[in-house]
Amino acid sequence: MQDSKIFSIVLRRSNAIEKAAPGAKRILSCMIADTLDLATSKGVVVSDEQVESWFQTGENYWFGQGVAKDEKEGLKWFRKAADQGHVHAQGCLGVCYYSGIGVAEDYVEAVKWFRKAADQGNPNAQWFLGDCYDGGRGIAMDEVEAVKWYRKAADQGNPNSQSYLGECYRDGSGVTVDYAEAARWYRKAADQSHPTAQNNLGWCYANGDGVAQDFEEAIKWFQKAAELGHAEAQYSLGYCYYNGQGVVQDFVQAYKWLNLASIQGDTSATARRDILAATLTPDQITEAQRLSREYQPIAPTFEELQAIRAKSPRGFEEPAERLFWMNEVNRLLEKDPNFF
Amino acid sequence: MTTTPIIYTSPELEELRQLVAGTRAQLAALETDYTKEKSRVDTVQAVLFGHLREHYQKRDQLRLMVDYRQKFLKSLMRGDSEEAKQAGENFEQAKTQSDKDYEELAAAADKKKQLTAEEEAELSQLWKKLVKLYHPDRFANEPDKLETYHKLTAAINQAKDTGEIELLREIAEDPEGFLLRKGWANLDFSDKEELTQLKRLHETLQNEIIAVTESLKDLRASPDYELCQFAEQKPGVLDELAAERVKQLEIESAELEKQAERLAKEIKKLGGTEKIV
Repeated sequence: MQDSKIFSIVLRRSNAIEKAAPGAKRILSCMIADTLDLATSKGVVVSDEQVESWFQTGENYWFGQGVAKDEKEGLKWFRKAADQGHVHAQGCLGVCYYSGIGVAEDYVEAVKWFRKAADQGNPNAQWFLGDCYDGGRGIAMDEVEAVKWYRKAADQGNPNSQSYLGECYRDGSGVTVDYAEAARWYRKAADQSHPTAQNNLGWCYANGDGVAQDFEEAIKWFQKAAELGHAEAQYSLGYCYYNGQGVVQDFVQAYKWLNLASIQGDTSATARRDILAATLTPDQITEAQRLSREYQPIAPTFEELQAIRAKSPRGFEEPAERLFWMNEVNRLLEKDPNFF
Repeated sequence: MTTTPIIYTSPELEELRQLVAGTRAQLAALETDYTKEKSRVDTVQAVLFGHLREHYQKRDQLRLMVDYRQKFLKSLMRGDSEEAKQAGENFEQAKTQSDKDYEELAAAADKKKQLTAEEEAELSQLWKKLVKLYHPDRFANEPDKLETYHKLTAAINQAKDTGEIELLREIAEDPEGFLLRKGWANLDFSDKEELTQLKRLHETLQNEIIAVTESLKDLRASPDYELCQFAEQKPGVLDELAAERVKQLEIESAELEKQAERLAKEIKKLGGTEKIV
């Protein structure tokens, strides 16, 4: 009976009967491990389905789908799939190192994995890699390289990269200053509901930078971003109502939007709101406060994330991006469970 | 039956009975998956073992030999004859154990044969019958029956783990006959009608599902399973890898042999006599 048990014994790690034949178990485990090592070193490729299932397992652990949430375990499976060239697993592994999820934060490792996925053409990995070059994270700062990667992703329609690329043209970071080019990229991202790009595009119209000055157009974009909860856009909109630029002057609306930006920690909005308040009647202030209370950002989670990082996701379509923003949400919730 | 009895069934009881049936079906599906996959994993292991056994065993013996001679030499230089004797005894013991381990593995591997396509197809039917035998609470108050029940489930579990489909078939087709042939007490496997008993049965079945799910999860996460995946997706890959591994082992063994000989010469130079070789 013992003999026929041995092959099953190997698998039941927690099982007490496994101790029945420790020597035999060790021998077999050793053979299997050696053979697998050999397979890895020889680059024997695992089937796509298998790699995909490893990645899925990683995601399940990460998000706690069907299993207890375990980021370390998730990371283990991501690594397995990433080693086999799974592009999303590589991106997710990069994010784990980038944000220190389930592992110590390590930008050098993050760059390594982002580059692998970026070289496979993954737009979000390209965006992250650009960001690492931009900020000198895990690699020597290189604005020209940053632009190179943003552009690759932007050309594929990645809104984060389009927005960043626009900013590079505005600031002359890695490229010559070119407001028309900046506005062009902002518009592409803005059309995909990227709030930062919408706000920046609004300012292009307000200042006539790279486009013909047009306050009504500026208001249109400020409004869109402000509705998404973008603090700077809320300030911009409040400012326009205050000055009556592109809209009919309306102090109550001005107060509402400045107040909303102020709540998000925008200090210049607070200052301006308080100056404005001194000129308003108590009824006007009450009305404006009612309006700000009634305000519901269209995408509160994104908006709150926006306040922490100057990056705005269009959505969580790609695993790496989803992972990244999920982590941001978790961090916020750790600080304040009632955040959302 | 000539008359149709009118049976009163409470809605709750009926619902519970359906719940139990559904749980049994779920358990049967899981057990089928487990048996299939376990059998595949074991078959691949057996093949790998067949390829590598001789070479690993030789390598392991040489390692033990080198280790022994190093210890023997040390004790010789210290002039500690007690330690030298101890090293010799340890070596003999380790060698015997190692040979026994390999024998055990070989016996298990010999028994292992791949399930045929028909057998795999049959598994699901078998498990549908076998899960009907799960009634752990039924015999809780009857020690002799409980013992029989434990022996029966142990037999099923072992057959499941080792992929002994004939045994599974034998039990599934005629559990009473199986108990009779074994000379064990007879057991009543029909589902009792009482609400509390059905509830407890449902709970127990759910626990069983959790246990099998865990086993399946462990199996799929094991290196053994990974190896099986390698072997199944590309015919011949296992043979190739094994052949490559044999070459590596031959090199390793040749090195160990040289080392063992060097040690033997040194021992001889120091005038030592190995008792065991």
